[in-house]
Amino acid sequence: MNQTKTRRISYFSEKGRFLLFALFLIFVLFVAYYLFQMAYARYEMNASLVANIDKALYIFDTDEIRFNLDPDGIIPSNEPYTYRFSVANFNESNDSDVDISYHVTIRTTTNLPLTIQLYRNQLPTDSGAVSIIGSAQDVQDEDGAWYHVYDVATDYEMYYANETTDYYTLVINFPAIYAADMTYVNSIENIEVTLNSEQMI
Amino acid sequence: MKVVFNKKIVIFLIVAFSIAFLYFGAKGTYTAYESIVNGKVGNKISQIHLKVNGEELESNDNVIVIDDVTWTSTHTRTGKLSPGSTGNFQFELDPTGSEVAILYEIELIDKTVDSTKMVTFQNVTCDRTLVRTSANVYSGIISLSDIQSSLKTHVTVYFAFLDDGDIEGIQEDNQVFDDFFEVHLHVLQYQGEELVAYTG
Repeated sequence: MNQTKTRRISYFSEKGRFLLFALFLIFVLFVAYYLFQMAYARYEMNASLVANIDKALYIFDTDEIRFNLDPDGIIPSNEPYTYRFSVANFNESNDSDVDISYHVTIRTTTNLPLTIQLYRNQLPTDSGAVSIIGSAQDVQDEDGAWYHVYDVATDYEMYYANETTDYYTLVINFPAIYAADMTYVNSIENIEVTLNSEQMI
Repeated sequence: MKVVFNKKIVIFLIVAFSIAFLYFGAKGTYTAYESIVNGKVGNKISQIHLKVNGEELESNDNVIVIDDVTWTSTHTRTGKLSPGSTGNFQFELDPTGSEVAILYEIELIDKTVDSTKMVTFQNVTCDRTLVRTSANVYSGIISLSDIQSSLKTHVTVYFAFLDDGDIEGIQEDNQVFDDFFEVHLHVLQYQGEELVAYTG
């Protein structure tokens, strides 16, 4: 009985000594860390530098220039159909800060026998008015569909120093001779005008 | 034995009482003018000071706005940033008043580091020794002799708004400072570290 008690006491005292040692070690480490920090502390500051930059705005403001011509909207007639759109280098609140050049392309489906003319800053009725597009090129897309593509040879420019608006008039002729032709009764023609602009460099 | 123990205590008390009596008695007899001077002796704590473009750094949240960015642009309104523009800005480090040497690190955050940034840094120059210590970190030292000589450090950062062919035009002036680039300046008390050049 006495031997067992002695062993227990010995066991607990050994455990206690270990615990005491561990606590002491932790304490020493804390003190050492604190002293280390004290010894090696140094001044430190941080700052962020940011730039106040004026951004050049790129304003190329266009109207809706993609539309469909369906049998309800267009019928064979000797009177041409006209559509107007414009493009500007400013809007209600800002002017463009860069010079811009742009290119005009018209693509139509080949469903209706249309002839197309495009006038820039002119009306078709103006004396000396000249269409800026020539004859169409037939182009096939990836899906095999055919299109008429009218390309404007000239790239037009707009300079930031001036507020500029270019007005375009698209004239579509669907001659009356097709009125009796039932081939086009249910056909829809899609016309897409693309103005591809970029900053001049 | 018990009697002897008590005697010792009694003798000890008598001696102690006697000494105390003699001490206080003598103090009363020989009273003299007396003055006590209390003073604190301590070392003056050295301080670090650094001004960036004239603004004293005080905390860890300093924001320095650089207003004098120089641009070179074509077909663009003067002073405006557009794709293809190149530019530079300079900032001055003034350690006047600092009592410790300074180690500074300039971290450049541009489009190569953060793709949301608009400009790309192209070069960094300095009228003092500046070591590229990381891909986008440049470090320099302002020694105590530099400070005593009132030498200021001027760092110039050159950058470009590269036209990679697919940049969407800025339609509204709603960008914030951080959209273009960030420069972080980390200032430390110099403790003799060696600046190791980045080898990539």
